[in-house]
Amino acid sequence: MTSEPIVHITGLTKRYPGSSRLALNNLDLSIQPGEIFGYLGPNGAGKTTTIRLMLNFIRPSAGSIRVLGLDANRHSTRVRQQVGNLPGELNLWDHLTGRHTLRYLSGLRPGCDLRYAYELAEQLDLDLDIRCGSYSTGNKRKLGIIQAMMHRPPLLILDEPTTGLDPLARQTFQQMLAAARSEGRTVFLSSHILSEVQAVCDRVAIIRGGELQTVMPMARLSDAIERHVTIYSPDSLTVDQWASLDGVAHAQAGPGFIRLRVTGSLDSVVKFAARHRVDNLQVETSGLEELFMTFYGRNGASNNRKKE
Amino acid sequence: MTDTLTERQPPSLALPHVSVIQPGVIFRRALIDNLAGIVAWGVGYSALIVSVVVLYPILEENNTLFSVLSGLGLLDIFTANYPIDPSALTTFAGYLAFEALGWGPVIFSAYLIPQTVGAVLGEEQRGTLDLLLSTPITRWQLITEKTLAIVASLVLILSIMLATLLVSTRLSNQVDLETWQALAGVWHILPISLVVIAVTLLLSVMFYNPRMVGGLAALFIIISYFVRSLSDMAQLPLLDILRRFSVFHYFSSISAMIDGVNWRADIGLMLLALVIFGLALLRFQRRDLGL
Repeated sequence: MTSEPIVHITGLTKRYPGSSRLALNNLDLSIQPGEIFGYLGPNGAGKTTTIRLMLNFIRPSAGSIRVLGLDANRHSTRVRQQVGNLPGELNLWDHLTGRHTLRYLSGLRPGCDLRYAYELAEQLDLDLDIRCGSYSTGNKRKLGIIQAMMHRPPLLILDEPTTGLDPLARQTFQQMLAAARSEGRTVFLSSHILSEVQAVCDRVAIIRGGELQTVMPMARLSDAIERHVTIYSPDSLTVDQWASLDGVAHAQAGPGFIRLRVTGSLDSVVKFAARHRVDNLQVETSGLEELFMTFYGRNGASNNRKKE
Repeated sequence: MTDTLTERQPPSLALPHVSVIQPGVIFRRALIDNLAGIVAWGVGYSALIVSVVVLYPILEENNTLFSVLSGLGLLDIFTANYPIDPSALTTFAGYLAFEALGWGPVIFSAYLIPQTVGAVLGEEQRGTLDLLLSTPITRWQLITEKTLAIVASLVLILSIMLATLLVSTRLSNQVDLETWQALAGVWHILPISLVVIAVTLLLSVMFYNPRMVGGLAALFIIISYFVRSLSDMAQLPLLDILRRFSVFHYFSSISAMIDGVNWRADIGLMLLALVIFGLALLRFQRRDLGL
């Protein structure tokens, strides 16, 4: 992509008062218009700090952020007008209903069409006439998503958006993101859940300990992700045959099953399994920590540090 | 690099720029949220006023009130620093000021301090401030509307009190109170209360712990009141100097209701509140939120 970045971060550093450690260290990041950009990292990595700096909730110790070409610090109100934000730790006014909450917040967004907000609520199957204090975590999250999207902003900033959502709502949310992308909107999606980022993002940045580890296309990350494949079969399965297959990093046999650690495509494993009788086949994707092990080893030192 | 959205964003996606959010949205919400408290405090304080209206004729009989207050030395203490005849305290206006309205700033602190701490720091601690400030509202507009809602709440409570005072004294044939006296007594609570709101607001944007802020604001009231009261009783030169730094030095319900409003003191208090509010605005502009 060659267009001007919608978010351009250079040398961004944040040290909280009284803390000896940098919450964010010299972060450089560019997000292109129309992409869904994943921001992946464990809890405490600096994801929320980055978002709070983008919205001018906190001030940078060094560096700069431009959002839609505007300085996020000097023109923060103009930036926030163009942004929809879903905070990671979402708190609502317990005494207000969902409808009152949306009315309240839409009053602070000139030109916001509440009918669209109500459409989104229908899509997410959210009853707006219940007090927020009585909402479940998932329903609070749904309301958070609606208030972030209701004014159709060019840039959506979503911090852990699917926390507490049921699988059906997750699916609807992913469709909403796909619709936003098709309209040319940009999404900055911060998460510590690998599968969430994997499902929707075009590119992903990985952050750890306040430092950017890598930025890469999602497809490349998917290739790098290890999967644990367990094949249950009454046939006798020998480790050597499976271990020699493409992508298999490790094989371990047990009574009636074989467990494989596979990187990249599962093609050779599936084709070889087809030669046997298979009672069951389980595929588990590795978690974020295992991904870090793959990329950076146990001490966090980069084995494959590369920015694209 | 020029700061124009049109250069960066397809025109169909960029939302039109609006320099100021329609005023009053946060003010209205805050006022509606305060309604129950306004009614409760208005009715509660009105009950105190009514009790004074009912009790005064009984105490006045046979000069009991004068004897009791005089015997305790209170007449001299409470009028020592003001150009008032001590016997004025035994009139209905003086007694009302002494028993009910004079406690206004102290009693209302129990309402105003939590309200002010909750307005900004409370929203920040609960995390709801993030939602408000995710919209294009400016920080100064948010804090101004929140503060004005508290001031409006106080004005409404004072209005309920004033209405009660006027109605109850008209209904009773045994007490005399001019309308200007009622207005002066109730009005006089406002300027010093504005200082309480402003000080609490400044503390709220300086610190991150609501309990500590509430405690410091209460301490400000207690120390101010203590210095004034001690000075009234002890009449020491040092205390006479110190009392000038107490906001209560510029507050006297008795004086307001007997001799009329001291506009110099009241305008001074309001200007002080405005200056402190300005400092709070400046501090809030620079504050890292949600730490």
